[in-house]
Amino acid sequence: MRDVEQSAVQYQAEVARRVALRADFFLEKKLREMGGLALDILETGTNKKKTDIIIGKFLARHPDFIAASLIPTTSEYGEYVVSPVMPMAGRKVIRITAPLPYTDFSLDMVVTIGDVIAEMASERVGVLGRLYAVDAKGGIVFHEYEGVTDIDVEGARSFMGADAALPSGGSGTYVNEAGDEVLGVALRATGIGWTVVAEDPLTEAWANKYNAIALAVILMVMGVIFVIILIINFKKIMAIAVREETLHKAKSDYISLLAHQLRSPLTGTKWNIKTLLDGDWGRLNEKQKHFLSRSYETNEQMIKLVNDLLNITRIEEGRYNFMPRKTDVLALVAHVADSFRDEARHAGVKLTVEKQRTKLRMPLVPLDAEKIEMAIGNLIDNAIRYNKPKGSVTVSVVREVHVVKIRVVDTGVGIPAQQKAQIFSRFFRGDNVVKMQVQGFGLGLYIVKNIIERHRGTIEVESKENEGAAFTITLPLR
Amino acid sequence: MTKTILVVEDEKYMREVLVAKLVKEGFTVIEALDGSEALDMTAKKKPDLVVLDIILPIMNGFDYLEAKAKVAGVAAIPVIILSNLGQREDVERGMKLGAKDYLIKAHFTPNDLIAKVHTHIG
Repeated sequence: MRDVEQSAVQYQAEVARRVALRADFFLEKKLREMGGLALDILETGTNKKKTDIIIGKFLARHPDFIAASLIPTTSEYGEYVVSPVMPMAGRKVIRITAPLPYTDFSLDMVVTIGDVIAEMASERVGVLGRLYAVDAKGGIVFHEYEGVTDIDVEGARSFMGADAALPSGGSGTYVNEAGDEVLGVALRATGIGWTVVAEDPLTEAWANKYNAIALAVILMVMGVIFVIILIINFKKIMAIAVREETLHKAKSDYISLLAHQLRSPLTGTKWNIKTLLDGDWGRLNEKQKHFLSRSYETNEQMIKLVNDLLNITRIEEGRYNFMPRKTDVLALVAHVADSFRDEARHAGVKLTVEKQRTKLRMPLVPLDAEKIEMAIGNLIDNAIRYNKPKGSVTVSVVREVHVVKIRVVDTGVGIPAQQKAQIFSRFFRGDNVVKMQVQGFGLGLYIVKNIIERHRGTIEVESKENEGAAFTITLPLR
Repeated sequence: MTKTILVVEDEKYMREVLVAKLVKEGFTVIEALDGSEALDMTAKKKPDLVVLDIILPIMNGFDYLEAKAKVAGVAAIPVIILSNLGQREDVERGMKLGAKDYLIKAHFTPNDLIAKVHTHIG
């Protein structure tokens, strides 16, 4: 008989343990999802607009989360907090708040408890027993009796008995609301902060109380360890993110500071040389003009490098603000091409803009004109600089049904086949180009790709070494 | 009567070429090295136009524009910003604070500036 009682307690405890773990697994899953969101937010540097977009996308992908926001970290919410179950818009929800390291914000999310209830309900207690979970404020969040699962259990009072008899968990006997003497085992799902109670009618003799208590204590310790591991893991993810973020930020700040410091003397030099070249301080002979022009062009390249570096730090810090407005793409492309007429003439390269030969009307396309101008400008600039004497650069715009394609085709040195995959990487320059000693820093195409992808577009390249390259930008029409 | 232009620029290298170019074009030029000095000179000398850098010690160009708008009798003096700050939000902020033009040093040349000056003070 003693064996029967003991196994009854163990059975109760096992059920409670499984249900408690289900609840903690639920929390772990939600914390992992929050961790992913937190990383995305840290990357933007808690920029409000971008954060809102990231959160919006996250909520769309995770219907179980019904709200998320960044809240200023206060002493109250400075630590990881799981709220009691609360009603919100007809649903039972809990709030999970986790601080974002090295920021003044915490990530505050509201998640429905639908998942956890469903999972808990799958742990059947059997025909005799009763199972329920009580949240930190004493509200029943889940109740199962004789195979009936009830999550709307405001009226159920059976936990009152357990509450009094099992104030700190473990097992014990008490009289429940129906007047039955029962054996209860209570376990706390430490992470989510709920107590799971499994009760069974007390039969012929005392249950093996001591075994049950010992078991309950072991299970509780396991629960605590589980949650500690879970929180440490969350913190570890954050710590790695913060370390990377800090290093990355230090590097970005350094580049940004350097670039700003360089830009002043470089633009000063530009303005000084330009007045000389314009003849403001007297007529220059051809030799003087030649060498000054070369200095001016070199200085312009340095200014471009500095601007590229600043653009890259902005891109990588998420500070490269995109403001799409409906734009006439044909006019934009023509305007950019026009600004390269002098450079093309100087390099002996024929620059042509081809009009589209399609009957489809070209609509205004939502894009950030300044950034797209920069992207197309970079492609045309490359096409001229890495061309051959008497070569050509052809720019064309073609509308297809849902997209517009902008192509920049040149007859230049092309891209070595084995290096095609790398050309959009930072600081990459093709072997053939490096040998030509044409100035360049390998930043332009990286910026171009970034700009195009931020417009939900693509950029592709076809090329044969020594024959030229064709870059195609594809942008969605809406 | 020659028109007077106030050049607000802390970098000597840049300021010298600006002043020389404007003088060559026939303008009288006065100089300030930061926003607060510029504000004093604007109030006292009432120049016909201001060429204003943004990154300046003590008082930056944006703060100068804000302060100038509150000084009686000088609010209407046109300002051309000539700066290395070229982000769209910088340009929008400058124009919103009342600047007539915003030239980015890296993208424009001395002759572009002279053309703009003539646009605003004939």
